[in-house]
Amino acid sequence: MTTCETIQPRLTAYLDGDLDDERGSVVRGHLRECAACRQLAREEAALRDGLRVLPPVDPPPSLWAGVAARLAAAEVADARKPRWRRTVARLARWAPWPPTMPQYAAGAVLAAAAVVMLYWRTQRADEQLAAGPAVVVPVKRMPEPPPPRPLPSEAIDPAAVAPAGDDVTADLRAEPARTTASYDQVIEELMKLASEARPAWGDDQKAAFDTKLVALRSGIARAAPGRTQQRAQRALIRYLQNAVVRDDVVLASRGAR
Amino acid sequence: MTAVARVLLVVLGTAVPAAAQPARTPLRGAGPAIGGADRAPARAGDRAPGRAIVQERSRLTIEPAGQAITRLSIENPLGDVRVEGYDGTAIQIETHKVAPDEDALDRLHISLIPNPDGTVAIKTTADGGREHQPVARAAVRIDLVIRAPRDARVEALVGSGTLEVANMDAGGDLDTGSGPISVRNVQGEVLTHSVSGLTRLVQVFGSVDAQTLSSDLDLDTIGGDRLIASVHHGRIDGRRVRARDVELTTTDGRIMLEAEAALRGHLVVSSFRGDVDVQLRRHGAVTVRARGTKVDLGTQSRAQSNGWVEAAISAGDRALIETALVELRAMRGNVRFAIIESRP
Repeated sequence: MTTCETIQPRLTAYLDGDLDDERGSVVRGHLRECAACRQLAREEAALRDGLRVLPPVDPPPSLWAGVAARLAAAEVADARKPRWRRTVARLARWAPWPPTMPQYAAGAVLAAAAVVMLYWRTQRADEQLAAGPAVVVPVKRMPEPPPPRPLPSEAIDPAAVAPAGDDVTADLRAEPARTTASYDQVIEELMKLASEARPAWGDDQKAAFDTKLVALRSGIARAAPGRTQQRAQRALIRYLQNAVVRDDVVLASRGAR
Repeated sequence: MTAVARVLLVVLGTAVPAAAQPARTPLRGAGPAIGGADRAPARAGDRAPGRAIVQERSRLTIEPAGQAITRLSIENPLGDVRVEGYDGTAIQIETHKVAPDEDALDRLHISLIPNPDGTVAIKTTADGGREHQPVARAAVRIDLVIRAPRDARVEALVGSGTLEVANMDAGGDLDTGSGPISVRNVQGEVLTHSVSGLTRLVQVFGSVDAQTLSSDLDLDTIGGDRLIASVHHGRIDGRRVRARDVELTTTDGRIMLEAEAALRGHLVVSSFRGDVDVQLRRHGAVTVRARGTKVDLGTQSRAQSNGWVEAAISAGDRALIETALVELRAMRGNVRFAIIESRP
């Protein structure tokens, strides 16, 4: 007796022509009697026809670039793994079945038991050798693990891939600090020039300069980091430039904002 | 899309509401329609051979709703910005994203925030996170070309990209890191600041305040009440400058200026370690005082005991109050001054 539950899983194979004559005949017979399965088969056939008329889609070239980049990144990660992890992974690949977590655990217990046994035997051997002459066992130095393989140059654009710290997002975050540092450097240079010019100033000029400097510096300190602080720095730069280049010490820089 | 009316946060390519979501289709044939986005591998020659990149272009129009768009605030640390004024009322934005691969391209976003007060804020960002493969900043970029109503004021911040503003009537406040600034045919108050980007202002009619730390400043056809410009390391070149108050200052760099002295105007040109060379067109009387290692005023002058050299160029019956004052200083350089045209 054929039912919808037994026929519907075979519809795809039937439409593909993969069923032998006998089974195909059974499905055909059921479809003649069952309107629901007939409708299902009709919809599936229509879907296939629709897919068939679609133009072929070529994967974009960037797709391979992305795949290659991921492969290269995976190789780098693999190369950075400790040797024992690579060995375990290799052995796991040779196993007839993929090891599960309990099997890993069982392996670890066996390994631990082997170590205990080895230690016990060694202790016994030490006890036996204690009365005899000392034996120096040369220790063979393990070779250094090879350095990670260089990335294949065609896989990743060296200009595009950056260390995590140089990622575009981190770089953007660091930009305001860089700009602020540039302004600070100029302020430092101008302060040196101002200190050279200072001996030629009168007392009132010196007092005015110091007062103004304190006010502008506190403005910088109070300002929120970023553009506001840079605006305050620019005001100080303007003032220092006018003081150094134009002896405009007493007057506040008119251009400062 | 009536985005202003809805005070809508739009993030191109990520959070655009379904109705406004630009379609991402492979680039074929003609350019995209307004509101669409095209993504495609870059054309050959866009980058060095052997470096695969992908790019996406899109266009968006923001119509004003109720209040006109009066201010445009742009932050694009990832590429160029070009703002052009036009006679329309809407803002048209063309974006061009470039990245080494699709993943990196998906990290680049452009947010548009239209405010009811008439401000439209445009900001570009790059997503972060550990799940992303690191991408160098130089490998990605977003370029923006914006057509805006002429009477909107532009406030723009750019990193290493070019910042260009043209044909605007309400001035702007422009800021770059190492990127050059270009302002052309703009009216209104213009403020520019750059750490190391060449700054060029052409046909600016309004007050100008320009400041750079280590780059040259080029001024051509400037007219307004006030022109204040300062450069720490770099030159200032000015041509066809006509402002009532002019202050040009460099710490380390020469200044060349060809200007027109306004009646009762003040022109102060100073350099610490650089020559000062000023050519003046005058309409009335001019008093010049200069100080430098070597001073040449091109006319009869007299040296003062305090180190200044002064010259007075009279203008017949003009009252003394209309005299323009010119002050030139080159602390460790030479000063040269010449009248190139007189219109009494």
